[in-house]
Amino acid sequence: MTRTATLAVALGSQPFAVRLAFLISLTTAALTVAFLALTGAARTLTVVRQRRRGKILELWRPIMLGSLSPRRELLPAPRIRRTHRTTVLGMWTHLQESLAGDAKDRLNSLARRARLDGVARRMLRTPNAADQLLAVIALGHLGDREKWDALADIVRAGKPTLSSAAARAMVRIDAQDGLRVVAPMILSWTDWHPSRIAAILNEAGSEAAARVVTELIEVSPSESLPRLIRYLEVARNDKVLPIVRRVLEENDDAEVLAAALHVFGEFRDRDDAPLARRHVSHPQWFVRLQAVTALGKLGGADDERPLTDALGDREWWVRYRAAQALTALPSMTSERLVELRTSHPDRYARDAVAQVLAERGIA
Amino acid sequence: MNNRAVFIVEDDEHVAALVRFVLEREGFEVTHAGDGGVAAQHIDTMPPPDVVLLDVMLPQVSGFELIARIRAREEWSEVPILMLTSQSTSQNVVRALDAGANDYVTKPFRPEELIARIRRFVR
Repeated sequence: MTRTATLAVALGSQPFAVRLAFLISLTTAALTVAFLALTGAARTLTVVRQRRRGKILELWRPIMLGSLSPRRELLPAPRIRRTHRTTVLGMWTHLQESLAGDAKDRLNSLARRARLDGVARRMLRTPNAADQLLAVIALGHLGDREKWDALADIVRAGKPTLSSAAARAMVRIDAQDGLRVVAPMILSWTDWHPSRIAAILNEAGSEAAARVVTELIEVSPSESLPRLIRYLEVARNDKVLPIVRRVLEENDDAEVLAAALHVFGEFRDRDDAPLARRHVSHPQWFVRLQAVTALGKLGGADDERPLTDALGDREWWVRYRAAQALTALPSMTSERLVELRTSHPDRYARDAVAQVLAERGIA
Repeated sequence: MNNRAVFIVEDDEHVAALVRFVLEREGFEVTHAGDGGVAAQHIDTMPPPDVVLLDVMLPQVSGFELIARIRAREEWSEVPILMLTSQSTSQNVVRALDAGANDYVTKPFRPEELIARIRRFVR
């Protein structure tokens, strides 16, 4: 009789609880061994992939970096194997994202010589989302119009990461035509973080960004105005201020007002200081917050009083921003702020000033 | 040939290789640390370079802490520090300059601008 058969017979004569315990421990041991084997295999695969990646980078790094030098003879570019394309295109794209000026053009010349442009176009069709994203970014840097329609489809698909990368790529390839595709999407991407839209508009440059956002403001519903007004900040072009002022004349919505005050504060045109002063005591706290913040950037000595009063606001954020605004006024000194910290009759006001002084390292 | 020493602290392998290539092409001797911890050990034990090129966002020990460490060590206290920072972190530039850095270069950068800013400190 084999050992297994002996064990089976012995087990068969045991009470149910003992048999169950044995079965559970046997299963646990088997699962543990399987888990250890899987972990080992995954680890081995990772090491193999890292080594392969290292070899690819070792081969391509001198070629890519060498292409940056105008004086050096260009190293020949090897054929890119399919299994290498993600690593090679990844490194090329990373260098493009890190460099400015003529170096970018030299990297583009290398890409064409090494047929990386063809690799990026083919990778656009891959079901692998990470590879597709890499391809989108690369095509933007290459200024490649061949896949324009495919990029436009990706923009319209509305996937935050991929679509915003495709939008940036299109605007990078051709700012005017790219914005024509992207502009209608800006209105519909209401759940996208503003920084994504800002990155796309930044790519277009301040004049083009200002133009497209002001055109959208003309045609959009009023609930989109606060968001669109904030995008004007990206434009960094004070030609947008008359448009914002006009919108305020036609619209008294609190959110629109708050967005406008924010933009006025960023652009620092003192002509807008009276508007900020008027709204320091607005019924809505988020308007008061933007008003005090803007006053810190636009205001002068006359604004010390309303800002000091705002230190006693019932909302913590308004008190905090009022304290920050006071420290930003040219007329305010550290000594007077320290005195305010101890002498203001409202204890919450004193706390707000103490907070801001501590952040600035003023004792 | 310059033979001036630059110590770069940058955790991004591609940016580190790029900066090393650009500097060595111009004759600089480059030492590199890939994270803040290794950089801190280097600062504590090695002689000072002519310039430090420091990324802001680093693992283990941040760029700001490294600035303080460099300024606190007597042999390193006068070494010029250039920060390498991304455009979206302009507050970091102010913070770094307040902390004791001498200049900054924003990414993406022009290689010739990087060299010009470093040369300013090693003339």
